[in-house]
Amino acid sequence: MRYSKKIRLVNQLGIHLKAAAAFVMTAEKFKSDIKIKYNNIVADGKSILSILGLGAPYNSKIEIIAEGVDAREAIMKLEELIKNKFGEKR
Amino acid sequence: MMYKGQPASPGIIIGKIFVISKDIKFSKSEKIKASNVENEIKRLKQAIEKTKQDVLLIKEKIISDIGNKDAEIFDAYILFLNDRSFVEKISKIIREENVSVEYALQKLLEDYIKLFNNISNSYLKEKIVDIKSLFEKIAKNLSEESSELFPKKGKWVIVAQELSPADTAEMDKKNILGFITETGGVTSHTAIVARSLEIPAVVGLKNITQQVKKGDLVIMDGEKGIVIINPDTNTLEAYKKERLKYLIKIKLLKKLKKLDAVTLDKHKIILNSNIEFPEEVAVAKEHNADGIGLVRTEFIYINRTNLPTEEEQFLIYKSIVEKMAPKPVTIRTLDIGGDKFLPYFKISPEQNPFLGLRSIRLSLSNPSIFKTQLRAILRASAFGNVKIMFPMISTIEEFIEAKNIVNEVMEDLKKKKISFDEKINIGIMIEVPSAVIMAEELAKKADFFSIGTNDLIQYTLAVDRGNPNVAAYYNPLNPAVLRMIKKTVESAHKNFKHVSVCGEMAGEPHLAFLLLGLGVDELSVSPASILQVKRLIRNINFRDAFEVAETVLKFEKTEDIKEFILTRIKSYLLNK
Repeated sequence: MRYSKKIRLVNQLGIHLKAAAAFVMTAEKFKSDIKIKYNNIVADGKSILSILGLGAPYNSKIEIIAEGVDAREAIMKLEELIKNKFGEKR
Repeated sequence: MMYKGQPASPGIIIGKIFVISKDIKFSKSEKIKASNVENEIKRLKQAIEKTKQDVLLIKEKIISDIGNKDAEIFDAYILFLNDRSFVEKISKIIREENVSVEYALQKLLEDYIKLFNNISNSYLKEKIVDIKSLFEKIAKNLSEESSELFPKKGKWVIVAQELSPADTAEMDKKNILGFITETGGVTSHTAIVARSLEIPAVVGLKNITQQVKKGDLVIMDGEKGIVIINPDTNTLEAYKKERLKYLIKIKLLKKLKKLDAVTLDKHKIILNSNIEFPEEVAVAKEHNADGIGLVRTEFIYINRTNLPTEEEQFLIYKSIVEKMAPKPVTIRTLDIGGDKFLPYFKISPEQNPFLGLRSIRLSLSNPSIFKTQLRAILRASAFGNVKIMFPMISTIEEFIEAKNIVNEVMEDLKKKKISFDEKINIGIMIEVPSAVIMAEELAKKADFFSIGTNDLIQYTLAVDRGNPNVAAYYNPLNPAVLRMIKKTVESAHKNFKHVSVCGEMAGEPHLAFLLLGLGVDELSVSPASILQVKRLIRNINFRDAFEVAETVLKFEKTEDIKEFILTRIKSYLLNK
């Protein structure tokens, strides 16, 4: 199974170190292979270095791609995380 | 040597310097022999392991000292250190370029810096400090000499290029007397931490880490932004006295926190706080302010790349309003132009920006931006006591137009069944002489007035307040200014409306005294000035302020007015 979804970053800081960590920690709960696409660069969703290398700021649109048995659920949880601003206040 | 930086947190301190110089250890010779490559990779792995242990230790310490939330950054560090691609990336640079680990680390860090810097006007740029801070920890563990990154014992004034949240979380607060940093402004992390710890901070002192060394004696005045390195004996003695005075002042002021602003003859004065960023609400509450007299909403618009949405604004206003409820919160609509601009919202260049398209004029010519803000404010009004205030109104028509737009937005909210305070008070900032002259007519239409003294003085006296050549002309005690204020108050009171003063004038005790005498009903001052104005109020008779104001209104010269007021004030406060 392969699913993908485009999501806008709503936390003001964008994908900084802490947000990237939160993403990886969520992604690691799933068996699926997870990727983030931004600005035509594809990052490994389970590598904090790779995600940081995207340099995705506030209000940019990223695409999450999941491939594997639990792809649908992974997308759902990751979307929730992003919409909740990675647990940040603003 | 004396330096002047940006004042970020008040306090006067004399102490020794501890320099946090982080990037020095990166600069180890870069080229290595091919035969040494494997050894370098071994060093890297060891340093990573050592750093992991360090980070876990710090994390535990912080969880027990402060709480889980502040420890999250260290989870991110662990994740980073455990990421296989980290070792792979660094090893690849070492192998391919025959360079030392230090050099490879620096190279990767620079890639991140470049990446984050290329995103203009973004908060992401500032967050590079987190990554830097981690790389510095690794670099420290590569070097054989075990110098301390942060002081472990003794008391020090910390000098650094910049401080990340992880740095300040890791430092033992009891070892710190003050902060001096090269970067940052009043809203930087360093400034916020310093204010919460109530220690002085001076920021934006370029190259200061190059000018000082560990153990140098330093005097710092966080209120003026002054830093003096290795002072002479006379200066030192003078500042010892200053520090003593400061300590006594603070002790006296702290006693006032919970008390009301009441004069000796039992007149309750409404003493509000201005706020420039949300963190200040806590200070206003702690100092028992009667309300927020001015929310400068510009903070929501600056430091970003696009206009804030209605929802974002609503959440910020709501949080301020809820925290203050049931006390009133006066929200001023966007006040940009003049000397404040938004990077993502360009207006065509003007010869005379202060007389140009600024403030309410800008809002009225961009109704969609204005309506978004009004909707957010109105929605927040359902959660407490909110007032709306328009800045820089200069004609009756302008006020009518602005109010009509508010009504439009209200109608729309009603249609959509979104709740708001239908009786919300709508007031005017009095900052332009034409508004003073038309004050009686404006007072019939507005619910309240708030005098913005900074601009009123500037426009009344035709003095650019930022121009040092004419600085001497800018004087709040100019008789023309006082008569302007008097006329505003009289016009409002005739129509049973309140007048507040929210400019810097209200925060200076002797000027606040005069304002009360002139009949001003409410004062709104910066959070840092609340206690000293409260101290003044509690030590004067309202009747005296009234008499002093009556007397000085007859004077023709600024100097005479100043002298008369200062003499009267001194007799009050001298022995307190």
